[in-house]
Amino acid sequence: MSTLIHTRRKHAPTQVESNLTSMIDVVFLLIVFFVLVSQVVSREAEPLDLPEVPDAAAAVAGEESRLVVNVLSDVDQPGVGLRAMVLGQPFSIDAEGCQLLAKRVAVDLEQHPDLAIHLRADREVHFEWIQPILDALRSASARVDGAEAKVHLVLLDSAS
Amino acid sequence: MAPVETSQCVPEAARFETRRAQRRSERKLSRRSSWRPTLNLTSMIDVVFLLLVYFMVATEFKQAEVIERLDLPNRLGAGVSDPFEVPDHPVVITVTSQDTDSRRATVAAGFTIGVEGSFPQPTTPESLTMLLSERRMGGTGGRGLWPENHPIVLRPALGTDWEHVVRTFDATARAGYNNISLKSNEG
Repeated sequence: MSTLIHTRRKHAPTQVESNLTSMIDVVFLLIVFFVLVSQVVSREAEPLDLPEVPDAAAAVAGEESRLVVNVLSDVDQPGVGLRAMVLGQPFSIDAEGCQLLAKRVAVDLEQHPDLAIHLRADREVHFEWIQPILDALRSASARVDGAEAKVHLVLLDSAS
Repeated sequence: MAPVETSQCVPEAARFETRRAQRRSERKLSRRSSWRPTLNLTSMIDVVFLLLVYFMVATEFKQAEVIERLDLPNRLGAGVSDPFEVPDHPVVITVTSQDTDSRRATVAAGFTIGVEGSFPQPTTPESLTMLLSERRMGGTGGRGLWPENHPIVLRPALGTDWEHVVRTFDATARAGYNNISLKSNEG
């Protein structure tokens, strides 16, 4: 024990210094990066099971302006569409909710006429709950002059 | 007590001190005189950037979600119709999940595909792709007559899971068509 203490004392005058500036730079960069990423993920994409297609003839989403419409499945009643979520805002899947959804999408379409609408629906939702949403998107594009609704189906490519 | 102890310890400490001094002089001869440990920041920044790049790549896994273009014909607006245009009768493809009635907790195991008209009925998405590809201009076989934008309507039955609709859609899109629309059974 005593020898340990002595050997340490031998190097006492040496000073260890680290350049904190660059480290803080990097750490702040990381913080900003994660803050941005986590916000985008939580607001646009709701957690749901996307349909899986083996070796899909699909493309990776580009960087163009987009609006993500999530269709969640009701946990208590499998197969039933619970609600549609657009940027964290819920819309019920009925006549009234679909009208509000069409209005909401039309507002975005007016700002970006080349807006791509990404339809993220749970794999177990039955099609009769998707149809009213498709109709709402169609009426939204009809409402805005010169806008052609580009609807993209979001799925998982299980091969990649 | 204490003074007795120190008097006993003094010769011991003195001996130790001399031994230390000896060792120190030996080391001075053999090693560099000044030894300053420094932190190598370059490697640390290397590692941090590696982590940064790793996480950026890892978050790309979220982007593994791929998209397929769905054509939504804008039929609500008053479109200008060409009087000389030959009306294209769309190919209607029906999709039905197995056991559509029962309240099951997950996606049904299978689904059936039907093509309305006098076509050989496909049993799998792959055979649907083959059927449609053979009938496309420039498709497999090279004897097809349908252009790429030949209208195709997917008509899922009531209670069809979205996954099965998407799979059929994918099979149709893979055959090379780009004018596919979704329409419910009652519409």
